[in-house]
Amino acid sequence: MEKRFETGTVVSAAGHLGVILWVLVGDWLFPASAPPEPLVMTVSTLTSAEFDALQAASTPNPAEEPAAEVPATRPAARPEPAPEPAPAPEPTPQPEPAPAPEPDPVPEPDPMPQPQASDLAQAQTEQLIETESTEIQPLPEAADIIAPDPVQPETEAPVSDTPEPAVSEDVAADQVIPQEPTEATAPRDTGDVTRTEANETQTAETGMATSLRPRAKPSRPAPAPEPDPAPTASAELNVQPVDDQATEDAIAALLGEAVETPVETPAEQPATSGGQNRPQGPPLTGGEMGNIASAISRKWNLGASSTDALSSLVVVRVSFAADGTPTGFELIESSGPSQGGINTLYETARRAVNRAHAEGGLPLPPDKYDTWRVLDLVFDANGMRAR
Amino acid sequence: MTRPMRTPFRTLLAVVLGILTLAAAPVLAQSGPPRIVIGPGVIEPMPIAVPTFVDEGGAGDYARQITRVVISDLEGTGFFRTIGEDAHISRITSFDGGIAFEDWKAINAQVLVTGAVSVAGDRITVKFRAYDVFNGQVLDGAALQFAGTTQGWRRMAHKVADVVYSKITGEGGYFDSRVVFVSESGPKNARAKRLAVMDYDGANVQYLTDSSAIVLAPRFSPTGDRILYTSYETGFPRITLMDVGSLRRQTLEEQPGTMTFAPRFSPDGQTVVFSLERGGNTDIYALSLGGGGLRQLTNSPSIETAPSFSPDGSQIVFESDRTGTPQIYIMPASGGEGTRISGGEGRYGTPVWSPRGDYIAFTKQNAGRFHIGVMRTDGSEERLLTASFLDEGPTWAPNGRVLMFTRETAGAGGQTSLWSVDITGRNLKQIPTEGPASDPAWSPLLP
Repeated sequence: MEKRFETGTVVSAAGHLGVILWVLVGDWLFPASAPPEPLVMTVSTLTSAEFDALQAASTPNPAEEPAAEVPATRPAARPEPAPEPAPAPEPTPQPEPAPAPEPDPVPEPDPMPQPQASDLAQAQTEQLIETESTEIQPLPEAADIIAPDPVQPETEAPVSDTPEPAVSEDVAADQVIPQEPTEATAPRDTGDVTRTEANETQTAETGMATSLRPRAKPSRPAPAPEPDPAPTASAELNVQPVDDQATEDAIAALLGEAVETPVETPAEQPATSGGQNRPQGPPLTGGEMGNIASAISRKWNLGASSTDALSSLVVVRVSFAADGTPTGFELIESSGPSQGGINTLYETARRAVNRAHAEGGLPLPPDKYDTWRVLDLVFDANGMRAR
Repeated sequence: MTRPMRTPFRTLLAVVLGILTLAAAPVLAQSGPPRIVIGPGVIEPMPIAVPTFVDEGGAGDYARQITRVVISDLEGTGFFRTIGEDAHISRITSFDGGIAFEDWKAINAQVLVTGAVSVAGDRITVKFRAYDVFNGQVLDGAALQFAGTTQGWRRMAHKVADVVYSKITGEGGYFDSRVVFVSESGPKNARAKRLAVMDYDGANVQYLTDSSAIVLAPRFSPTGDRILYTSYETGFPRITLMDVGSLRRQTLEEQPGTMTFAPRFSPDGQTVVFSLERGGNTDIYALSLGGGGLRQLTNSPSIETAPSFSPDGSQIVFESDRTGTPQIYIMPASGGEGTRISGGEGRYGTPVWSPRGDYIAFTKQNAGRFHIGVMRTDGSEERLLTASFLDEGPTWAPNGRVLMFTRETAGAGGQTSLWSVDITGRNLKQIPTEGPASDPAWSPLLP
């Protein structure tokens, strides 16, 4: 106790002594930097006529001022990804370096500061979309395990049948009855998800705890294959025994017809590629892109997809008419364990865009048609299997 | 003095240039169309419409029944939800008539399946088309016609469903397949067992043996025309080969004082692997059906059993308790020590290699519960699909996407039944059978 008191006294005394010494000799030991000299201005009085003449003589160059402003605004806009500590990843949402189709290093020739500011906003958008769409995604509801649903054996039938396959043309597709949309009479999807038995206590958590962010970087560009490499009606049918030679010939003829007749998709031209796809209009804002992503995500149903499709990624280039109707689809990038899975995923993507358009329309800002005339949509199903 | 000044200046210049380059990167990258990341999507059954197939002559009843089987097959996968006919706006009265796609869009049908059935004598013809409603087009390859005898109408319905299923999901079909199983009757302590086959959905049951001898673990040959099983006809378990067409039976590898069980065909159907117990030790052997003799594949004082070939025939997965508890191992088809692939807690058994080669299904017992699970062939990504008092003996559907297995309830009055589950763990359901049933084995897709 005593000792501690003494120590305190010594420290206090030393402190006081130091302060006193500083006051006495501090200025002498550490001369302060010369105080800023007061501005001295010589003032002379002018008449108003002389003042006007002076002002007219000193005409400043107006073009130089905004030019000087530009660099000042850029750094100010850059630190905006505040939530994440890494400002460097900002370029990663747009990681498309390899294809290098059109380098075009002068995308913004106009010196106006406003477009530059929105360019930065667009770069930020990519990250916003991921977050927004993840939040928008409704929680999957755990449904009861599907009931056994007994199938009544209708009649006893031995396995000795001999299916006789043949192909008929899709006549009806050419005879579409034009009709106005009618009121829906059936309930929409409820999004029921069958829970599994082994993880029934965790289903809800695993559904949302899994990070479902799409990969930022799609892998190598694919050579734009067409969906469905014709899973060979011939293969399907060749495995079936037929009764007689005549039937076999008929099947062969019809199969040939089926294989040779590709499904016509007049409404779906390949999306235009190359330099025409460069957006010509003002860029889409983060909110606009997020709205488009949400509208399509809600219609992107992977419930009837193969396991390979659920491990795949496709980038689909979609062309739109001015009224927002999708007019062309083109698979421009893909990755996945099998071509079949990629094809299936591509079909789900195409269906999602068509459904989003047909059921309420896509939120495409009309005044920016030149920008969204062609969009590259990234559909990444990786991780969906865990849901 | 001037030299040191220059180096920092150059460094600074390099840093500034680097930053400028990085800043320009996004601008360069945006030279293509705007790129929007979609997702996550939704996982829900796809709404489809399957209006009753059109009767094109004398097929009224068949048309209705075939439609019902097609709907049952598709809905049974858990992938589809059929929209009831009472909600349909349009009626399909002619197979080749026009389709009012707007009507089907209005009820949110994404795929429309139309069909027609005609009967002439004992011949029946079924034709169908599956349309992508929002595209207004027939799904590629989904416009086919099948013909056969009226007795085979169910198989034709399964074939229609197989095509629709595979065109939409990208998976192979599995509806036109059969399952051999052990049909059980009587009290639990004196069960009578006999072999039976049925459609994959429990229909068309046919018995292959009587209940005079206990039978176990039947397995289809890769072509579906033969069945291997274990029979106690002689009082000892013996592997028996049956020809499905003639029901002729033949006991394989009859060595006095031994027991043979757990047989399975090689992918080419020429070899049978099985367990042989001799002098209290069980090892795995291979028997060539072409007359090549018997080869011992494992040689260990522990119990090695439940062998199953990889689809390419190069490897065998099996169960061994050499470390004290049953675990799963893989060895070359020529035999050897094997490499353990199961690594979790508990006991693993009855491994079966998927026909696609990507997964191994197994039974797991842990913490008083039984599970059916799948893992990658290197033991990774283990996933338990079920949990109950007793689940065991998984068998793969021909498409490698669905598993069927035996479930037994607890207690003295416990009953066995057959269940199926998707490899994602979804769509667990019981297969309807007339009575207790166990040991299912799926056939390949029928020709």
